[in-house]
Amino acid sequence: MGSLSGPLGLWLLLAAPAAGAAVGLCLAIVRRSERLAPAVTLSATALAGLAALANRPSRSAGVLGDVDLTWLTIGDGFRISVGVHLDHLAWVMVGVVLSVSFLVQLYSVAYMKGETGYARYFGYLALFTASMVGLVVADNLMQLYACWELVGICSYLLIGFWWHKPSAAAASKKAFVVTRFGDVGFLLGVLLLATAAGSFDLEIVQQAYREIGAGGPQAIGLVSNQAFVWLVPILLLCGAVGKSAQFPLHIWLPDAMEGPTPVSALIHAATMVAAGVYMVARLMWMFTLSSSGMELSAASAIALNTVLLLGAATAFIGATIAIVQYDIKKVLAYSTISQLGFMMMALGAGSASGQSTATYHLVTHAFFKALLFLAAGSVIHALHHSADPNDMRGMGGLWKRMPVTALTCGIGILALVGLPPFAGFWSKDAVIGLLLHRSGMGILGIGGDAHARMGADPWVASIGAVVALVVTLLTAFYATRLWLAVFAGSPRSKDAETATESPWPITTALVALAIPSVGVGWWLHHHHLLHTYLTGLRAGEDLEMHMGVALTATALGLVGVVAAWLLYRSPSPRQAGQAGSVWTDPVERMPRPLLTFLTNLWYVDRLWVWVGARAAMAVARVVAWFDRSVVDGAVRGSGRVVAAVGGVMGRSSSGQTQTYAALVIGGTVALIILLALYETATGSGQSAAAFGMAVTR
Amino acid sequence: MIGLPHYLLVGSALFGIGAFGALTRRNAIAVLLSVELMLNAANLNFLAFWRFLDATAMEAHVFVLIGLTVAAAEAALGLAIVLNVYREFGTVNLDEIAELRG
Repeated sequence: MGSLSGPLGLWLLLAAPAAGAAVGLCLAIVRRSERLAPAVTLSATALAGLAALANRPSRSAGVLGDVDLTWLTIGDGFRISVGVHLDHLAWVMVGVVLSVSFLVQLYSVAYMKGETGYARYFGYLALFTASMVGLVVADNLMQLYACWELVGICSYLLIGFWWHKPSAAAASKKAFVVTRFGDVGFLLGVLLLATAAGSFDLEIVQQAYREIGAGGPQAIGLVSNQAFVWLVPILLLCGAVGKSAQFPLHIWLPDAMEGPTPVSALIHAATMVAAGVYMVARLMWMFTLSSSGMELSAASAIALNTVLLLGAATAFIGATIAIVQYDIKKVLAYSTISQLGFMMMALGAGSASGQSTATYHLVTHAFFKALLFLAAGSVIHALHHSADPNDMRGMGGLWKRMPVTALTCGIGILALVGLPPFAGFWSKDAVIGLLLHRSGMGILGIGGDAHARMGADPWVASIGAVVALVVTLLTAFYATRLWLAVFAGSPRSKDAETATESPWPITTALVALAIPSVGVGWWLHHHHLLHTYLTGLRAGEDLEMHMGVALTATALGLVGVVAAWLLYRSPSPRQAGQAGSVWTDPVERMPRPLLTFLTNLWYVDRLWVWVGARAAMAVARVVAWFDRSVVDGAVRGSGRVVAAVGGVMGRSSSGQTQTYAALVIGGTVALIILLALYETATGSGQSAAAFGMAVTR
Repeated sequence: MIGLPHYLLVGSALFGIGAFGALTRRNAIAVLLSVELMLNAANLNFLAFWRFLDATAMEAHVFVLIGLTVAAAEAALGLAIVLNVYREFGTVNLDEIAELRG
């Protein structure tokens, strides 16, 4: 392993998954030995994992793996490079990506068995892994952006893996188009930054950005420096909103569940959707630009307030919709949206603490949400003969038939709810504690730090803290509902009665993910391991674990769990002897207007359709008008002018020879008169003088 | 004493009468006659200038002789055309012959 540390290992980190993808896709193209594909991609991922382990940046900052190659040189040495910049944050993220990717690939060996396009599937997974690693270790904005788009392509390809299903094809298109909305902003931000700094290199960009923030010479025409320092973070945030499924661009993520379930676990829960969060964490220096010492500039407050409020809205909306979903994967999808909102809120709290807390929740969430998705996949795999294997109304009572899945899923649920000692408890409480600290409300035994502003405005942080507590309650409810509806009670369909436990690669992956879902939270919290590792700073007061927060959050979680238990423990109607009657979900007893509102997903999708249709129609109308009156007008007008001129000119061609002769003579006379006038005016008079001389002689 | 201006006056008068006739007469033969008048006005000017400006040069005579020849040829050709026009259209009234109009 010693030889792997150093440049070779760093390059392997990028090259191994890329090579795996190439081999996998080649196998898919030649349609030979497709069964070899997982072996290739799994070993490639493992190799990259070894390379990552060998190159772990030590805790004392300074020893960073950093290699790069020039990719393009444009004009006078404007350089675009490809590199591996493995700092602490990148290393943690690479670790999450590679470990979840490895387990998901292992799981897929069994889950995707017998599917057509087996090698294609693993090729895509490896390609995704390579692009995600490329994104994480990027040392320049161009590589970051390119990998960002590559990851989006992989998502598109994998959501549409079953492309012959119209819903899957539509979902992949939707995911691609919706994230593209955000990516436009992201690209603009990247280009603005690169234009201002004259380079894509992150270090140079950071330097230039600080100078602009400190009031240097105006960097970009049209945009003042004051506007620049808040406009760029907001534009970059647009990209994060699209990729990390934040309100109002979250609508693609639930549809993305059309892809195979392991893909949902890897891409749409654990890693890719975290790319937006990672990007903001990575560029935290931009969001917390301090103009004088500890005080944030007004621009940073604008950016961070936006981050926090978007996160809060997303967390709340996601959690409320998750309550009324029946599709097991959609519950988890909305849960993911909600948890990504938590991460965004932590980022909005700003500074190194916000960065490390968001990463903390990202890591724990990656493990327990991957676990939950894979457990859901295990259930779906067991029920794959039924008409709608994702529908929780056709499940129930699977506890006895699938004990490993039920147990590991239960661990994931408890981690999501955030009960101690599971992983989610530690990271979620860290987020809530940080928000309460920033809010300066001084409740639950937390002192405020409103005097030294390090993040979003205190009132925004207060909103975030309250929302986070409410969402904790909602999360506990829908998570418990999920588990009880699937595993408890008695089977509600033929398929659920005959389901059997999944094969070993699936259960192995589940158990392997269950372990970090229990342990990683406490381990990373212990002595603020993650914070000190990431930032090299001692944890401040804002990261202290407060008994008040822990007790309140746990109590809220328990209330949610108990409420769900009370509603769902009662035997289903079928068991109660009402065979044939449809199981009614207790959540349908909530007030009708509220239920309608929630099942219509807050009307966000429809709003987009309406806005899209309206806006498109308005633009189309303007364009149509322009086309009809200006473009067509020019064409028809030129024709008409020619015809009119021809008509006038044609009339002069009367065919009357004498008229022509008259014109010739008249023209000659006119020319002579003009010549005479000209010579009189200029006083040259040569021809007149010659004529006069001749006459007088 | 009769000088160059007198000749020129007669020449322009001849030219003016010819031009007027060429432009206003309806009869094609009359137009041909008027063109002859204009040619003769030009010949007269040539000779007048020769006489009063440079009596040693011979160019004027050359021009006039060529002019007379061309005028004779033109008259013959013109009358032949008029004859053909009459056969074709049944008239020599120029107002009625306007086939080449736009």
